[in-house]
Parts: sequence; C-alpha cells; structure tokens
Amino acid sequence: MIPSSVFAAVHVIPDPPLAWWPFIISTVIKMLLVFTVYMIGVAMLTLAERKISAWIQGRLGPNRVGGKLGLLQPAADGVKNIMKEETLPAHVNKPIFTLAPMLAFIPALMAAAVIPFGAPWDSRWGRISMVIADLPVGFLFILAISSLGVYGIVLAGWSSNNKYALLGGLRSSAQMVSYEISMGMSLIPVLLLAGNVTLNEIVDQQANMHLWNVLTLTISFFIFMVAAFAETNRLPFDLPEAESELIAGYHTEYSAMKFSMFPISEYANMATSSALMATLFFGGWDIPFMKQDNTGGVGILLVLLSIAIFAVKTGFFIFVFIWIRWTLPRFRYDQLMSLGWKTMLPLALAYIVIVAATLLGLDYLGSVFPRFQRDFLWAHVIPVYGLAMLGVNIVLVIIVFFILDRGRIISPAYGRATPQQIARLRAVTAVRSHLSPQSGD
Amino acid sequence: MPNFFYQVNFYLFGLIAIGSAIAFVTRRSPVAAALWLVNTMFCLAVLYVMLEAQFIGVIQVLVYAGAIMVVFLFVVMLLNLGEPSEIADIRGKWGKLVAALLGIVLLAQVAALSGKRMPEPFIPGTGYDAQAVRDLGAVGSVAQPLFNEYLLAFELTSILLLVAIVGAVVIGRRRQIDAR
Amino acid sequence: MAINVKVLARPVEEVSYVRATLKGMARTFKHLIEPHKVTIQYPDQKKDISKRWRGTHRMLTTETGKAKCVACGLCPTVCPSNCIKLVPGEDEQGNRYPLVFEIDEFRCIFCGYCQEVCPEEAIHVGRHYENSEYSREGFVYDLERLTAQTHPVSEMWDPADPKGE
Repeated sequence: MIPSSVFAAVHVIPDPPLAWWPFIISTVIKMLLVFTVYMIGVAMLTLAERKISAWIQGRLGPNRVGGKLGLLQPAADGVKNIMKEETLPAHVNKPIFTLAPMLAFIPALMAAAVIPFGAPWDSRWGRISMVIADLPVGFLFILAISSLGVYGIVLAGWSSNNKYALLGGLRSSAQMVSYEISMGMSLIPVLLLAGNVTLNEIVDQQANMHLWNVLTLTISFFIFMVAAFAETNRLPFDLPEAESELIAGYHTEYSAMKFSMFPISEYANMATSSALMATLFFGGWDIPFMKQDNTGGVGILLVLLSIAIFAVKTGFFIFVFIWIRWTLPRFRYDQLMSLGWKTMLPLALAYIVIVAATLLGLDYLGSVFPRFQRDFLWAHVIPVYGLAMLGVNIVLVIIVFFILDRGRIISPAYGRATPQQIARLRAVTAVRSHLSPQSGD
Repeated sequence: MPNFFYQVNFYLFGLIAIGSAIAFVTRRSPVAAALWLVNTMFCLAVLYVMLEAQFIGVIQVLVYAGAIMVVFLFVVMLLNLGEPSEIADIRGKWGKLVAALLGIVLLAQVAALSGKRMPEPFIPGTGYDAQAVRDLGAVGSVAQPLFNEYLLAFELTSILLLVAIVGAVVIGRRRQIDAR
Repeated sequence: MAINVKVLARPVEEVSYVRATLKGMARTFKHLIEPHKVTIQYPDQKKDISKRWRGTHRMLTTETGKAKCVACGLCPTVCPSNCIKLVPGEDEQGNRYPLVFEIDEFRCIFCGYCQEVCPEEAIHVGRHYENSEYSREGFVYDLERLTAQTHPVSEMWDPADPKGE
C-alpha cells in the first residue's frame, strides 16, 4: 500500500503579507538592484573570461586599463562598441535584423526575476523575500524563458541573409530544442524530491535535508550542467558560432553595440544558469551549518551573508563555465546530436524512474520506521532519509561514470562502426597508400 | 485598485493578441507570420496567468513559443521559404468563401457563448481552480486531476503521440532504405 | 613522405569522456595558478635579441664624423635583393667617398652580406627592429640617416664560436 504522504501536498506557509506600498517599493528596489548587479556582473564576466583564458594559456591578459587586473577594460570595451560604426548590410531583413539582438538579450535578463538570491528579510514592514517575483511555477518559468533565447539567434541568422549566419542559426535551433528536453527531464528528480516547483521550496528542502541535491542527485546535476552548456552555446557546444567553419556564425553580419548584445546575452545566460545550478543543486542562498536561516525571516546581517554565499556559489559555477571553455575542444555536430538524444535523454529518463522508485520506497519505509520520515525529529543530527538517498546515488554514480561511460558518452568518428566497417576502412587506406607517391616531399 | 489593473491588463493583452493574430494571417512572409503567432501565444499565456492558471501559461510559452514555433522557423529556414511565395493553402474564389464562412460561424459561436455566464469552475479567483492552486500548488492542481480522474484519456493521448513518432521514424527509415 | 592514413583502433571500452575531461581540467587549472607567464609586455619590456641579429642598417663613421665607406661598390654587387644604391665620388686628395648611398629597407632581406663583404667595416646590419614609417619613401635610408643611427651593430659569425655565446 502506498502511503498517502507521497501525494500529500506541500503546504506553502504564506509570508506575513506586506502592505501594498512597501511591496511596490521593495520590488522596485530589488529590480533595480538585480538589474544593476547583473549588468555590472556581465561586464566583469567579459573581463573574467579574458583574464582566466589568459592565465590558463600562460599569458597575462588585459592589464592596461584600470590597474594590473584591467578592471576598467569592460568600460573601455563598452565605449569602443558604442563609438563604432553600425553597419547594416544591404540585403538584410531590416526589422528582424534589428529585433534579433533584443530578442537574444531580453530573455537572458528575464530569467533572473525568479531566482531567489537571499534569505527572506524580516523587516519592520513585514517579510521581504529576496526574489523579484516569487512565482508559484518557479523554474518552469525559467525553462520557458530560456527556451525563447533561441529566437534571437535563429532570427539573427536568418535575417542576415548570409549562408554562414543561416547555418549558425539552424544549428543553434536544433541544438537548443534538443538539449531543452534533457534539461527539463534532468530537473524532474529535483522536483520529485522537493515536491514543488518554486525555487524557494527547493532551497528549503535542501536545507531541511541537510544535504545538497548534488550529493543526492548527482546524475541530474551532470545532465543539467551539460544541457546548460548547450543552451548557453558555450564550448564545447558553441557550434552556432564555430569560427573554424562558420566565421562567426549567427552574428557574422553584426557590428558595434548590436554585436555586443549577443555576447552580453550569452554571459547573462551563463550567469542565470550558474545561479540556477547553485540554487537547484548546491543549496542556493542557504547558509551552511546554520538553522536560523531556514526557519523563516532573519535579520539584515544574515540576509547579507546569505546573499554573499549565493554570490560565491554562482561565481564558482561561472568560473567552471569559463574553465571548461578553455579546456575542451568543440564537438562535431553528429557527436552533439548523438550525445543529446542517445545519451542524455535516455539517461535522464532512466534516472527519473530510479529516483521515483527510491523515493516511493523510502516514503514507504518512513511509514513503517519513523526514522526514515523526511521530517524525522532528529533529522538535523542524522539525516537518515538523505543518507539513504546518498547511498543510492553513490551506487548510481559508480555505475554511470565507471561502467556505462566507456566510449559511449562521446564517441570517436568510428565509435559506432562495426568491426567489419573498420576493417574495410583500413583496407581502403592501405590501397590508397600504394597509389600515393612513396618518395619526394 | 487591483481590479482596475486586472481590467487594464486584460484588455491590453487581449487587444495585442487579436492584433497579432490578424497580423499573423495577413503577413505574406512565413517568418514574419510565425513571429506574430509567437506574439499571440505570449499574450494568451499572459491571459492564462491572469486566470490563476500559471502552469498552463508557462507551458504555453515553453511548448508552443519555445519548441514548436522554433521547429517551424527551423523548417522555414531550412527550406528557404523566407520569401513571400504561393504556398497558401486556400486558393481560388470558393476556397476563400468557405474560409470566410467558417470564420463567421466561429465568431458567432464565440458571441453566443460570451452572452452566457461562465461555468462555475472557470470564473477566476472563486471556483475550484483558485482553491486547488492554494492547496496543491500551481502544478499539483493540474497534475492531480490529470493523473487520477483523466488517467485513461491521458494515456490514450500519449499512445496517440507515440504512434505519430513511430510513424515519423518509419517514414524516415524507409527513405533511407530506398536510397540504399 | 607518402600520405598514409592510419586508422587506429582505439580501445573504445577504455575511453571515458568524463574522466578525460576531468583530467584536462586539472591540467588547465595547474596552468591557471602557475605564476610564470610567458607574456612579454612589448613596448615596456623587450625580448633579448641575439648578438647576431640582423636588423636596420647602420653606417659607421670615422673619428671626424665622416662615413667610413670608400664607395668600393662591393655591397651593391653582393646584395641579392638589389636594395643598395651607391654613386661613388672622389675628393681633391683622391679619396673615394659615396655621393649617394641609399638602402631601401623594404627591399632588403637582411641577409647581412653587405656587412660581411665590406672591406672598411663601414656598413653594418644592426640589432634593431623598430623601424616603422608612415610612408614607403621613409624606408629608403640615405647616408645621413644611416650614419645618424646609434643602435648596436650585429656581430659577424665567428667560426670559433658558432652559436654566438
């Protein structure tokens, strides 16, 4: 018999409601704050990318403007981009050509609206939650908005009336549609565990379980991260702008500020994905080893501390994005597609089934042994429920990364060729080597 | 006060939706038409959210605007249908007449329905929906009936989709085999 | 060399993309934190160039400030790119001197033959490379300019010290 607790709804305890004017004022302040931080952060990200790439390659990176770290380089770049001439090629579709950079830029910023960036603040006017819009549909909203980011790229590619741009747009639309599915599927185990889709609930669930989701749902995290790389068009998935094949892909024809809208939106997407990874899998703004912050509203100092912790976690993932970009080479297009459809998607689907079964089993155990209940009395001392999940997870990680991942996640060109086909290839090259000149240069 | 905002938003997005829909059917370029359709879907999503159906609203954006229309654009770009062309489905005098008649019938139906009072569950903020959203969350209020009361219909729909996918694969494979 | 493509049979069963990625990331991280950087910040720092670097020409002068050149005509003869223009002249004592001595630095291939062939050790290639100009004419160095240069000159190849150490 399935215990009824599985289907029990999670009751959201509503915050003490704010009066309408503190609500509007606090929301406007939060909007301005997040927008400013985002824009400055994105500007600094361009610098960070150049610095980190330089360091990885044994260079120094920009250090001429604004001290040894080149802190004013983004400002210099911005001024340069604004002063530059805007070219409008003759055969472009003008309205769409102008619209496309905006369409790339707006969704990148919109997704930031629903990510909680701090513990709720018990101010004297009521509880102010540190998220611009606490939507009940949470990260479904983020998925929806991030799925719109492809329009900017596709339309930029199409309206440029340029074969390279068009190919870039085609690639990006196919790539993003493919990886969106794995991304959504990889998040379902997180939903199953949290029992809700609002991001604040997921943060609370991780705090209550005393384990970050990355420890209990590692494979979800892995799939989500790979899909996030594909969604943001970062290496190793930057086929839409592959320089060696497509010049600059979808933004070949763009110049000046219109062009720089595309990198800005790419970095904003990167920041959003990082914030999402931190929230969904690394405890979000929750201050580790502390109980106060997940019991409701806290004082201003703890709020600031939680914001700082969230910033550190997000910054780490942004660093990982850059780090991987300067480590891995670009995939081939067939590798990209086979990874998305033949590896990520089945893995995510199988994982959903396994996690759902595990949760059902644990909830059933919880009805028999109270120790296994999620809100067990001593859960903060020995998180039995979480530890059980962790055990299952370790087994799955070993199975996936040490047994299943043998030349299957990314295969060489002949990876799926049969031994007979490889033998035939060898025979062909042997014949060819006889035809080629044996001497000379 | 909130009621006033509600009214303004409802008429604003309703009018934008209608305007975009008209633009969608009158544009000659397939890409422009597709973009206007995306705009219409957005406005519909806004209206859903205003009816306390956030889940449907988000899914509207995620599935229609984010996936299906992208595939549409993909095909338009791949086949290079960017220029206005004679790809209209309805041609000739009779076809246009029938289409106009159908449109008028649809409008009449809408007019007749809007004269009636809405069934209880669909009135925003009062009926079953609002209570369910409060109790079960935005997703739970859709999932609960979907997987309990309407499970059979749901499964039948999924089989229908599966059949479509298998059919697509079969057609694709047959071409490959023929080419060989 | 013959074009001979080998199709290697990689042991697919032992290939793991994830583990290889982690290995690569460890490698790049090592480089990231490594303090030694190879960048030379050019206008501020300059790379040490070899003593035998063959760059912009220089005409050496006697103590009186006159060019050492005796207009023997060996350097225009030996010059493979034909970039030296020399018109010899003679003064009252019968000493030959160059009336016109021009080197087109654009045509020059900096082989250093002129320095090797010069009997008076007058024309030299120099240890200097920053010779940009705004016009093509600026690259035709006349005698005045060649004597006015002050940069160090290139050393000749010494058989006793073939590596120039």
